[in-house]
Amino acid sequence: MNMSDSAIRELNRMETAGGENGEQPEKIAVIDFKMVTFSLAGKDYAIDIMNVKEIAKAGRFTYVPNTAPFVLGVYNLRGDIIPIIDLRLFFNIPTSKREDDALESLIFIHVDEQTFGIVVDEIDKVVGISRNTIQPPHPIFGDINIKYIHGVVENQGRLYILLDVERIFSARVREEEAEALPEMEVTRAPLPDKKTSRAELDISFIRDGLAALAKFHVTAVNERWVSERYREWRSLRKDEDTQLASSADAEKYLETFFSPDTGRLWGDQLMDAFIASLPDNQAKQIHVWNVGCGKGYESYSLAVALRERYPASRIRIYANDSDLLSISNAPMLSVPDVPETSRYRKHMVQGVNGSWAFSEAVREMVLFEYHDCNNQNNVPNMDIIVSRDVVSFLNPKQQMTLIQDFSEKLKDNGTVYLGQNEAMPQQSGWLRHVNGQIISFSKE
Amino acid sequence: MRVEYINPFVEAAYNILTEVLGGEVNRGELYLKSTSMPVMGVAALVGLAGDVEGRVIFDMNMATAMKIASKMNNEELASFDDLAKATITELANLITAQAVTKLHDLGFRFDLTPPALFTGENMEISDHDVEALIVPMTTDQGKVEVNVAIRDRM
Amino acid sequence: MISKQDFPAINERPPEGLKPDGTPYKILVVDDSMFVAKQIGQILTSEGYEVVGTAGDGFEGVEKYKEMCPNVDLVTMDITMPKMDGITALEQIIAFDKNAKVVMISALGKEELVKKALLLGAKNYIVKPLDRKKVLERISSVLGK
Repeated sequence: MNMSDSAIRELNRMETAGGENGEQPEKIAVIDFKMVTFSLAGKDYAIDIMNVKEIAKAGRFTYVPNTAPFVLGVYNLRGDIIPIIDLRLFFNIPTSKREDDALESLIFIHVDEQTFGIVVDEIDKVVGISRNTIQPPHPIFGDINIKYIHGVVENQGRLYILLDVERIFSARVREEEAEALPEMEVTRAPLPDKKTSRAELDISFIRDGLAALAKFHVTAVNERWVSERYREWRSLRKDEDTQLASSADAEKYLETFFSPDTGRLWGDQLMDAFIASLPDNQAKQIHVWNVGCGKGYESYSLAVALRERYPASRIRIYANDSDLLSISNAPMLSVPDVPETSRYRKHMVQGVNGSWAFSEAVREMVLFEYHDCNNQNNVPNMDIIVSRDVVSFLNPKQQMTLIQDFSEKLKDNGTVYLGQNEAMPQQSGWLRHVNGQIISFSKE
Repeated sequence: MRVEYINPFVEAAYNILTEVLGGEVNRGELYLKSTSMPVMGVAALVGLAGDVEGRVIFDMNMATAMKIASKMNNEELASFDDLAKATITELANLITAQAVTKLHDLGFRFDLTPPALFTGENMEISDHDVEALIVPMTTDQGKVEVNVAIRDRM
Repeated sequence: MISKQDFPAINERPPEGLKPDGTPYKILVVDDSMFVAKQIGQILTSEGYEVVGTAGDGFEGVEKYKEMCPNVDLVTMDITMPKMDGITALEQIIAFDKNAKVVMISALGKEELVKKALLLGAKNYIVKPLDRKKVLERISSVLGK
């Protein structure tokens, strides 16, 4: 059930009511600050979610000699070397001896373009509070140097010491440099004031939650869907706790985002619709780029669809994914059963163990690569690019760069397919085409 | 990097290191890296040719290189002399050659070029715009990183 | 009473590297790696063979063979070398002396390559890493013992 626009207006009106009449507004707890909470030597601490990049559990840091004792070492986070700091040691809080092999709870924070990992006892959850409930630090509240404390705040019976990570990790204050690249349109959370509606604040916090908890970055590419989903979400949560406090919450929010037939061979409906959306192409060779092909279902579905649509052409699909486990098995993808009536049947062969794999002819069409599309993309010029639900999981700068890459790699008469709920940013040089349920893009 | 190319390198690295060093060898998690890579102190580079172009770099710190060279020569080497260098270079050659042989059996026509050895502090190998697969291997003598960058000739 | 003389003297078998007349077989080692040359040399000399020369690339290898012939009984030839590779050097040595005994020693074990070398006249092919026993057996068999 969608909230009607009038109901939303009513909510907003109630929140700003006090101000309009010149009276002091009632202190309604407007959540305008989110923090990740954790425990350290028995006490509760918190960090502004804006500084939190991600959270993880890990062990085995590489020890680095000649560093302060609170620097446990470095950790290899997908190729980036991140210094790992033990806050307990940093703040000289007595702790019990750590087991060498134990998995530690890590919060990766981002300060001044540098990422640090901090080891804590236990990560709790994301808590939303009202900025005006943060009280200035008093030495009595902490075992740690007051200059590192932003303040203290009480929430649901617990007292959190809010750390000022910028003070802790920044050697000096730096001017922010202007970005050379044009910025992806990310409508940043407006500074909270009485006029900001609850809905706007809510959505801006959901954005932060999606980014930190599910690595889903809200930009012009998926903004529309995020807003539409918010209405559903609010009624799902019966208007109460709409905040994303955990990964499970974020995943639930994203449940309706994914394109149809993700993670399996495309069904007839999608295949027919997709084939109908493909433009004519007389070329002898058709090049297709399948970004984020996962386990290979998408690539093979594309192979069969393209074979049907362009019977006379030689099809070459360049499929890549940065998940090694998924893509390792892609070339040999097999399914337990293929009904006689399935359009895939004639392209598959049954193996000795009864399962069905694709024929040599189809497998030859696809080149699977373990590749991160954020690195240089060395593919030839493309007739078709299929990148479903990939762009949204890149940070805004990466999204910009990848879309730019699409533009460069795509032939002038080429077509790009994004996810069901993704779209090229408006007025960025892309034309939108609608073919039934399928949306595609071409260059202006 | 093409999926089919990965295992041969991982297996060759494991097999050769286990065979020539005799101790325990453990493989770390594979990952991708782009552009320049800081080098630990000693790097052996083997070029790849044929159906592909690219190179394999074997990266380790000096202490590990000395220990490995000593182990392979069955004697304690005192300094990173010509013999030690030739030994590390040969290790690189053995691993790459076994991977190339396996790939050949799979139908991929690869060839390799004679290896080169680089040493120095704070080296960076700047492969202009090349993505590399990193295979971290831990041996009794220390960590060796196998760094593979391959591009199919289109 | 059983005495020492009753037991076969295991350590007294003649070293493989010696000809029946007691002189050592002469080996030319062609390899661009100082380490490999040393390794092969150690294996061979430990069994009485004599390494009469080493060459660092195929070109030098052919030159030395031509110089020292007929005082070379066997050549060990690496494949991947700068300047001139082992296959080319093999061809040239066989062209010079059709009875030359060349054993390829390489880290590359491609089936095609092995066949090619044998067809061109190599007497055997050993894949590295080197196993002492295997090296000695193969060299011994090539020398026809």
